[in-house]
Amino acid sequence: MTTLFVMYDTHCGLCTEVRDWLQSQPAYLPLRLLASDYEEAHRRFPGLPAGELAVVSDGGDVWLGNHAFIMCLWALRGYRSWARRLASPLLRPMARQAFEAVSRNRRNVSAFLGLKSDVELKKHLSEVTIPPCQTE
Amino acid sequence: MYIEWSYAVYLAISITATIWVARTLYKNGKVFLIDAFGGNAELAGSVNHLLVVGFYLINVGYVARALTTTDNIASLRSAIELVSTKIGTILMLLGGMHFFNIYVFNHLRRRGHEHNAVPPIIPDARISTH
Repeated sequence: MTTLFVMYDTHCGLCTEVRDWLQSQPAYLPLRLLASDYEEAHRRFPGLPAGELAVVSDGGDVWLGNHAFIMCLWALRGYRSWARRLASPLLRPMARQAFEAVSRNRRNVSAFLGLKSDVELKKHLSEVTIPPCQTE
Repeated sequence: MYIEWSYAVYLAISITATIWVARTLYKNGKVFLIDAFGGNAELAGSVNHLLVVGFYLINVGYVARALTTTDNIASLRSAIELVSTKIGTILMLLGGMHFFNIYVFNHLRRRGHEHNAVPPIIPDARISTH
């Protein structure tokens, strides 16, 4: 795996936040950000669901929704261990909240990672509000 | 006469200890570095050599700077005490540098592993790319 393509919906508040934040972070592998309603995204990856964050590797592996948010974190230098923690079945549904929390305020990461159990972490993450997706 | 002998003994022991620690680091650090650089033995060898050069420069430099004393060495007893104190300081410096190097080796190794990690989630689908 040498490149990750991140398809985001320009109508979705959280997705555009993802784009801006990802561009400012050092990453382990290059991230190519493509707006999913633009021609290049359709030409490259036809058939991907619209209105949802999607991550596609150069090898053709696709991650959607929450899984895509976790893969975005995994690609970043400072967030790989955080992504690994979020990949647990209990925390996966909280990926959007976790992403919102870390991209808004870096201090939250260490505060969250300090929580011992996944149940405790899930409880804290469920309190994070995320910007609404206008396509929904 | 005591002072010249003290200096000679101090230099001989300090430099021998430095060489011994540097060789130990060089020999045993190699495995860590090869692992850190994903099996690239040439790059690992190069980084290892550079680390050891830095180690020699710092330690031999300190040994040289710490040689002088203003104490009046008039007996064998004070000569032994002087040499012992100075060598003790050098050995503690070597110990500190040694642990610092181990930390660097381990840090590089962990970073290498993190860089080559596999994704934590299996893909939802596969598509053909061209």
